[in-house]
Amino acid sequence: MTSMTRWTVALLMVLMVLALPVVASAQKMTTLRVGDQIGSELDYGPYWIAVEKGYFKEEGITTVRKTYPNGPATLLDYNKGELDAVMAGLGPFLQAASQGSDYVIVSSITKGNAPLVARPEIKAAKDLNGKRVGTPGLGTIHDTMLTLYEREHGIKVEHVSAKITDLVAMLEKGEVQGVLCWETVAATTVRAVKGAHYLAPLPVIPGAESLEVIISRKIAQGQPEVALGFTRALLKGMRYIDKHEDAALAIIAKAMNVPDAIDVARLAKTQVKVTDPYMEPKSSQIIYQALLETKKITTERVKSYDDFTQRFVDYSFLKKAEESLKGWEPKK
Amino acid sequence: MRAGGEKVVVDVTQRFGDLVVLDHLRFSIAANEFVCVLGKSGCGKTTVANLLAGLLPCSEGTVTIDGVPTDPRRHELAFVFQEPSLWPWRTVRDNIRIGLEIKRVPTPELERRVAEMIELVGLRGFEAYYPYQISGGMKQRVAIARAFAVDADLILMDEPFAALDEQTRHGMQAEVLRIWERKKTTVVFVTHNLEEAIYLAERIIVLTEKPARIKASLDVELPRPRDYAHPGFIALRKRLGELMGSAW
Amino acid sequence: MGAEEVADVLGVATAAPVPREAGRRRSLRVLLHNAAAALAVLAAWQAATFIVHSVFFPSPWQVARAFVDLALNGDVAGHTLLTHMAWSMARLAAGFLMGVVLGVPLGLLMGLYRPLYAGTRAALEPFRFIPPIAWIPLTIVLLSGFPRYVFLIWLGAFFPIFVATLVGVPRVEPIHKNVAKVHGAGRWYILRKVVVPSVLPDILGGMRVGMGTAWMTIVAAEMSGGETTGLGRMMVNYAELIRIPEIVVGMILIGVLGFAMNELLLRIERRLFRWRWEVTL
Repeated sequence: MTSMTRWTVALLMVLMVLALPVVASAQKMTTLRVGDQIGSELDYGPYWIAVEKGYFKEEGITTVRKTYPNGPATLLDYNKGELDAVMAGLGPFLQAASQGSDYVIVSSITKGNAPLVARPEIKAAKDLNGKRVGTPGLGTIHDTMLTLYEREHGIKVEHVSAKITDLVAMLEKGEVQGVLCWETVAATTVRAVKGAHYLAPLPVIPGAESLEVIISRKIAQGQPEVALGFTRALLKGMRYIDKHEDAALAIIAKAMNVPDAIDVARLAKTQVKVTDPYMEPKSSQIIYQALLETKKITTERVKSYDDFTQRFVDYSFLKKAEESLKGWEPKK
Repeated sequence: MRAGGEKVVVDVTQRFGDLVVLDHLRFSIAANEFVCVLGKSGCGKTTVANLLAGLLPCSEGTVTIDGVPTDPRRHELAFVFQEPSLWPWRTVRDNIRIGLEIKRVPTPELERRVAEMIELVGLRGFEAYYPYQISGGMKQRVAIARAFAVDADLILMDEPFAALDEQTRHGMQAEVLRIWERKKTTVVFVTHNLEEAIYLAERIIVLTEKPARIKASLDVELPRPRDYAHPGFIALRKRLGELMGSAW
Repeated sequence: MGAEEVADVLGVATAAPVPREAGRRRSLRVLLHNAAAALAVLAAWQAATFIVHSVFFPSPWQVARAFVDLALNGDVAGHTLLTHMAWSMARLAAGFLMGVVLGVPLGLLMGLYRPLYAGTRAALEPFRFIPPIAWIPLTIVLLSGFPRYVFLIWLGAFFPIFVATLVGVPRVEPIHKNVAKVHGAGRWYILRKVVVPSVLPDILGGMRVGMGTAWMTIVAAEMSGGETTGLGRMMVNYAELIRIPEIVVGMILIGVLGFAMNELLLRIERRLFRWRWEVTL
């Protein structure tokens, strides 16, 4: 080797060694603590695809999942600073904002997801009048959707709150005559309770807004690249589900980790839509109004629905993600 | 022994397991007689009292009252224990009525007798007091009232004044005699105290140590109220001392 | 001898009744002390809100406002505060009553017939150590509504009452029984007139403990879901809406009601057991 070549090699090696930490730090993973609910793998399908296909990893994000009995419980932990991102219903988010919680909605994730399952003797809406219907909690979006159902059909039912996992037993015993909860628990209930059926598989407002994804404002403002990466990974997950539905279902069934998961997921999927990242404005407004009327929120901190969308909804990450994913095709 | 028949007849050998406590013990008591059973501590005198009261079954032999084996249900029996035995949840008055209550004495008669006893033991004004509010001496008065309230066939007293101080004890001894003289009942008084026995008894039955037998049965013929300084008292005391001091 | 002379001679210890005026003055003083202590607690609470600046840590004032609002307007579901309190108390009363009705006779029975207790111990004792809350999942599947709560409360109340009765029976003084026996009493009389009065203080002590356990159980049971009323349920509903002041209102009411019931039992105890010296807590 000539002295020239030797010097070049040496220089390259030094540069490589110096570059190592830079490369390493570029590869350094951020950990995000994500909160969601029991039995919600189908509703948060894009999240699970992103986990399985490594979309989060590509963005340099490691997610840690924490599960709760329902949305409000998830938000209680978020308020303590135990979570960085939360996936939950619009209702709980509105309620939390009304009480002083702070966050940024980066994407919608689920529409529909408000199925009403009833016992065999309940054949029509009017049969439910005066009866008892179970929901996963007074503060869930499902409780509010039940109120909307009552209004639509001019009936009055008793809202009975219980743990999501207890609702099946209660329906079977006849302690409640109907259950309004999220998928795939509704599908499981239909299969488990003899004669139970979907009295109303779809919400009274077609394509109604259901679940959102939030990131803490601290991360949205302090680490916008993380917020962007998180949003982009979810968007990829949505695109994957659009393109490869059967494969997606298989992945979700695996995440559900229950017997006959694939059958339950198949039964449940017609009740939810998980591939639209934008909030549906009309139903969202109606939900806001309903919460105001049932006194679940006040205008003390959040003056109106517009005030809410201005302060708490930020599509900038979504827009950037869409831009960067132009022409991206999800691999199976 | 006094003439007056044999109301109470004792003829027992009492065993606790292999231990013989009373060995062919035989004696009888006349109606309305005041008898003291005298013996050292631990000689079995309490066992005698319990047998007489029907609280203990005889292992061998009989204890009869009016010819019938002792039976608390059939006979009218009463017991003044050494320890305080009042029911703490009942007032003085309600404690006195226990025996009458159990034997279902009709209410007017019951109340009359209770009132009479309260007068007799000098507890007027204390009827509504609870046992925790009265002294040891007063508690024993109530027990005595309870015992004498019923028309007893036999009243047992097992060292009832042993826990009291000397002053009180003397007072109570006089009380008991007074009440006995009024109510005329058969009384068996168990004690280890020589002076007490002489002061109270018409007859003293001296027991040996375990296994107990009758050492002696002495009539006491001193005039009442008995005077501790009386030569007859002193002589008897000396005699009893010798009897007690020597073992069988 | 008159009562006074007897008292002199025998050096009687009588309980001197406290003159009425002194008694009243004393209770007034105690009341003032308690009021001062309560105010101190409130002041400390208020001070804490100045240090812990969180939306989710309410001040006494916020809680007071929430209480007034709840009292006047009811809760989000339309139930009044009184409804919630009444339902919680009703469930407690039913379960507690059953605890007494089953616990006392069973305790007496097992206490009097030792072989019966010895023979059933291994089978029954382990149940005593399962906290009522652990039964909740099973009761959700097997029972519904009111019976479920009554069962859970009964579990909390039964064992303390049963055990207190059981343990009290052998402690009945034999001499008290002997007094009755000598006068010719039968077993039934001794049970009614000696055993029961002797054991009653133990039973009431067990009842107070049972009441406490039962009250804590009802709150946990109501939180687990199934009915729409009750203080526990009200608290969980407001937790879901992240409305902390109302939660604290619920907590305070639960504490106050529990305290009131304990005081009630204490008063009953003091009434019934005038014949004792000790003052229990």
